[in-house]
Amino acid sequence: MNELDVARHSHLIDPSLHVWTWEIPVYLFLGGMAAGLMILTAALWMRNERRSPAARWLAFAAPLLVSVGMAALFLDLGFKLHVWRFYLAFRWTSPMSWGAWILVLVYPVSLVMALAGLDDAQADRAIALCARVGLGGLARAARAFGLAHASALRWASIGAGAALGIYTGVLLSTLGARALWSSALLGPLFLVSGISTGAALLLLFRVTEEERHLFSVWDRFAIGIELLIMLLFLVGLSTNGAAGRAAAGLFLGGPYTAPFWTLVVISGVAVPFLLETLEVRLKLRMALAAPLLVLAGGFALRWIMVAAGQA
Amino acid sequence: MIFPIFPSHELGLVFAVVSGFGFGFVLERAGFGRAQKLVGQFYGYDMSVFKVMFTAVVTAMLVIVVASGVGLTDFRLIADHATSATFVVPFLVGGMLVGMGFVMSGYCPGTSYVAMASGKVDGLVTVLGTIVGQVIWAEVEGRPGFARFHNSTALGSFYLWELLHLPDRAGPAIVAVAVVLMAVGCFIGAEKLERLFASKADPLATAIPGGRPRRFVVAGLVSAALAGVAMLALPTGSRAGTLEVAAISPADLARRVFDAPWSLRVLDLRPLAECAAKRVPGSECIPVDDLPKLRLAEANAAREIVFVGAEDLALPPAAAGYPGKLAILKGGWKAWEAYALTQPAPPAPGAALAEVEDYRFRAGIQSALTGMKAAPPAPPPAASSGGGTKKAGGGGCSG
Repeated sequence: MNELDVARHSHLIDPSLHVWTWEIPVYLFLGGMAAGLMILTAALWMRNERRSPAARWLAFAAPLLVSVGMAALFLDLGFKLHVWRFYLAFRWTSPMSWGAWILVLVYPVSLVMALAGLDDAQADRAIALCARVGLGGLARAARAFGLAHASALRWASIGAGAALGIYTGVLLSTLGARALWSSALLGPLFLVSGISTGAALLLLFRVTEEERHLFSVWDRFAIGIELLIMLLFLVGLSTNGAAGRAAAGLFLGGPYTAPFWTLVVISGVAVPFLLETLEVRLKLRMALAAPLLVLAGGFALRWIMVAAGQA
Repeated sequence: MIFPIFPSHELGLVFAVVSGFGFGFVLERAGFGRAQKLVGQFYGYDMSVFKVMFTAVVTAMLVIVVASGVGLTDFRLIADHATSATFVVPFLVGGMLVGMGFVMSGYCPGTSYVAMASGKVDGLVTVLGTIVGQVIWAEVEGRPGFARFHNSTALGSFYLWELLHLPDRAGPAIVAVAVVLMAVGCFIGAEKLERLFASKADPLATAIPGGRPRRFVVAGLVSAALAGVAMLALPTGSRAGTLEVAAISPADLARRVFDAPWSLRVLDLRPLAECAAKRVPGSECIPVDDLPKLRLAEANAAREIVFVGAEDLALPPAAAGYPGKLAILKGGWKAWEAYALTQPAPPAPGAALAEVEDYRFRAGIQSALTGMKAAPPAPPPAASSGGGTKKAGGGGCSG
């Protein structure tokens, strides 16, 4: 008892709590952004058949970002050669199993949707590019399939995007022993944050003025909900017994107060919201400042959540 | 402390970011992200940046002088800790360089960030140039020849009232009043200049409502009078009669050093060599003969001063005028060493909770300060090992 409680002589006695490093927040950020892109590009297509070339190409950003995120996840694996074992079984009680299969679902849906969403000239270029690696026929067939089932495909893209976005939060929130993560609100929080970072990424490119306006509206809508969920998240934690209060205390006066409030709430949420609102109200030209702040804030949110949850 | 209103470091940082965004936003909306407006200072057709910045300087100065006059803060503490010491020649050279960069780029460092945030390429280039300049500076700063230059003509924390040989107490107030008067004069002059050069004005600039200089005069005089009255009329640090000296135990000192180090100032009066070898964390080595140099009678009373001697010591006379609380470490350095730097005996099994808590605290301090972990306590003596009356199996499944 004395050994355990007082002297802590053996380094094996205190558990090592900080086991997730940079890979996880990077994956959560990129995965969330890809989820947002899948939802937004599908929603844009639903609203409008005539889209700018940039908006059409940007649908490919989702599988690209997911791939980079999965590479980060792969680096985090303890036994890298065992990665195939994820795909031998589906354990419905394990969030990691859900995630592995959702990621598999995301690829075909997002790629087929991106191919089908291109206009004819763009599609010819994309198919020619695929033909160089011998995949021309597959790309053409995928595009034809996507165009034939466009409506179902868009809904599938929204569904897969929502599943991916929520999953990035659920991955944390199923670890109930970590008081900070033990909240069902993390799923929706990461989903809306993913939608807002996805919209911010789209705003960085040369899209039409009408699309820009639309993305800005969606971005502000997502940011508004994000702010509300963050508030509820903190309220939920603070009214949740001693462990929850201690976890909320990390953000309310504890060591993560300054990073959380300055990088996430002020710079990543409140200021871009105000800037985008002002740009619309005062009819100013859209600057890059607001989307860049949203992207930095979204990344900071994941980074701080992962770090504070292990503190 | 980041910001004197918020005692918490974390909240201070949050406030800093909020005010930073607010500052940048107001600068941008005021047109200070436009190079044409900024270089207007040098051509004389638009002095608004000069007026705004000088107003900010005067306002901040008045707030600090008045607040320290009424005892809310201490400008000497702020000035000594937050601002650079004075180096006359390097300051002149550096000031000229910044001015040249200002004219060439059209931005000062702060407004270049504003311009960058509103998407201006020249703002971005200026920011990158500033960063490159800082990297080069950091590289050459330590080179012998360069270091000799930028450490030359050092005057330490040197103030205008010291240059002018004004009395210590009233000096800051007099200087503040003088600076306000100077600002008022400059504003009037700047507006005259603007009228003179109005023909060259930037046609894109928004028209500024022509302010009447009389407003500046009235505002300046009122603030100056306020500062003067506050500083001269209010009692500052004249509570020398109510001197209390408490004795503080090593345990209490340790708790305060670790839990609230900002609330106290530990002065170690032992000879310099001894103090330099080992001392209480965060303490200042002041051999007892040097104590008068600290001018404790004029120091800020916010922090409690704790004196550490080799052993018990009497209050040094140089501390007599200190307006705040004073304490002496009971038993001096010897007692501290015995308490914090020697390994405590572990509590006996079944010790009271308070005793275990006390042991934990001491062991924690000792390992934090010496880097050594406590050895595990001796195992409890095996109870009656020789007895042959071993209980039979506990029943149940043990068989």
